[in-house]
Amino acid sequence: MSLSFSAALSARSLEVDLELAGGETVAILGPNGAGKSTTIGILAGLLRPDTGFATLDGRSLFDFRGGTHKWMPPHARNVSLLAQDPLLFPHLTVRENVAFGPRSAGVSRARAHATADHWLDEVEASSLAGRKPAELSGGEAQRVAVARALATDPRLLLLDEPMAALDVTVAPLVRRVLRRVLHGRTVVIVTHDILDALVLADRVIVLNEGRIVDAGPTREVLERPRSRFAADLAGLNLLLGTRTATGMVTHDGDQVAVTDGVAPIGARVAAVIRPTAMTVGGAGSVRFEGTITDLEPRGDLIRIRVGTIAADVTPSVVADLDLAPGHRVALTAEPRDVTMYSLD
Amino acid sequence: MTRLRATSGPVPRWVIAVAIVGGVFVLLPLAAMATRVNWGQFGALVSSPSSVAALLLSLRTSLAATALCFVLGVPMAVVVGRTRFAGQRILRSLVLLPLVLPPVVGGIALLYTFGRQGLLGSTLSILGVDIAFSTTAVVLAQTFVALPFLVLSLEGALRTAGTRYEEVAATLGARPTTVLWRVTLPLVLPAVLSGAVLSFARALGEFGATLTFAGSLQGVTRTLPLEIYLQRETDPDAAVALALVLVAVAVVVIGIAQRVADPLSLRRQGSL
Repeated sequence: MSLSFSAALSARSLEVDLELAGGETVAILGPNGAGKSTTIGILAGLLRPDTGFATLDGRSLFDFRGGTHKWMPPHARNVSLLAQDPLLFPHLTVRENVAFGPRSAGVSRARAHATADHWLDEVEASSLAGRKPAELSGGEAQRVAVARALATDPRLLLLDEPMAALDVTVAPLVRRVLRRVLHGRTVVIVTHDILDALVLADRVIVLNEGRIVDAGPTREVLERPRSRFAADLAGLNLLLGTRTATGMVTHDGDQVAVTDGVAPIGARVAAVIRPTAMTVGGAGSVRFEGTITDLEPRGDLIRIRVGTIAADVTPSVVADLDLAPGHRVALTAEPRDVTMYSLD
Repeated sequence: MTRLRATSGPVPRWVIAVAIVGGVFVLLPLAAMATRVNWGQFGALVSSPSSVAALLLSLRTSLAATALCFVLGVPMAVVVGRTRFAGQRILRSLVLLPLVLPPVVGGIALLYTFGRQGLLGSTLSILGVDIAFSTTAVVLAQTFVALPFLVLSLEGALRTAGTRYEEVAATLGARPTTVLWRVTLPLVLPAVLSGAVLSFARALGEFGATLTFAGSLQGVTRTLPLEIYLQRETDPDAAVALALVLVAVAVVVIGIAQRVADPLSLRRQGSL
């Protein structure tokens, strides 16, 4: 194991366990206030947890178990942090910014500048070396910040929503650069963009209210979400409930028929249905009746929401049935479109 | 006036009128003093041995006091602005005390600390160091009254700047001392410089604490303000001429303060 981490911080009602293999990239997903940035802050050494421990490549970062109180300050951890804002030092040139880490480690100016030039080349920013941060665009500054974070050759790299503050037109380039330079590194990336998780991460962890509610390989979490948040990210309707003889009964009391699915009767199960597989007032035996809460355009389809269930239908269906918020409808699906899996 | 008019849309006329009265109140006395200058004798008056000695002493001691303010004031500002501990607010108020204290009171306090009969004075005396009524005393008196200017200016800037750059620097492996020299101080450099310039100006104008604690010995403790005060009794023309020199120095200092503060702060804003 490269990183073992377990920490609780009651002021932020956080309680998170994390294991990372060397060279693995894990994405932490979750809604605002879920504790993502707090977790990053504790790993970087900018926040102290109440209890817990962390070891990185065999070295203890902190240990607050029992009576022990070991704490390694951030500068000694070899853990780099890249935040949403590039935070390039405004009084230093781009090259001096990237050379800052090696210089702080006691490397000579010439060698530090050589390292800086290498990493600037890696992030496709060589031509910016002599500029001041004020002369850079948002995307350029963030690429330089990536180079600066990597120039220290960190054992662990922390990325806190690195694309969140970027213009949509420059985010793809930064994402591409990250994908290349993160290869083979141990990385924790906080994001609420599903694309970041898909492109950059091997595994995802979904945090909600300070607890891990879902975890696993990115593809698995998105195909078989266990949390509302992950289901929303994947664009799926999520049903949580108990296995019955014919399918499942949701926590809301809806009976859902399922053609396949392996779980003993009485087990906790989840099921997902694609919104495009749902129809309005169809013949499917899976039915959700209720009042339309919302209509919104979704590509060339219209998304109809009835409570937590969404159906994507064509505009002609909306026009023919004269659908509007407040109308009572039944959203239906065929049992074969329901994918059920055990949560136990 | 044309510049004022261009940007003064929502400012009521009466406010402008009162502001003009205030400006006149500040500038008229200076103009009145300038009318009393004996221009024919000006060169001779300001270049008399006692005048030159006072001017040089003032510059020397004020520079030394500014350096001392920097050495003591930067750590004070960092501690007050960047750490949290019990009694911090009280300490912060105490640091600012010399700002509101009558300088003569400060002088008396210094005398009872460093004077021959003072708290530390007797110990220093045994060591062969005699501070009171020496040039060192002038520097101490000036530092005492000027220190809050640097601390206040820097502490405010440190609070406004926040600690995000410092956090990034730490995760890049920089030790706290490295962070202070290479990140914190460069970021608040405009405040350091304008604080230092203000401290220098305050030190240059120091009168009460100096007279009380250091006395008035020509070439040793008689700084320019003291010289002006003494000359006023015997040679008003010399006093007015020297006063004008002090005004000129003050104008230059204000000019420098604005110049160092402006372009740098603009550059920082551009990058944030």
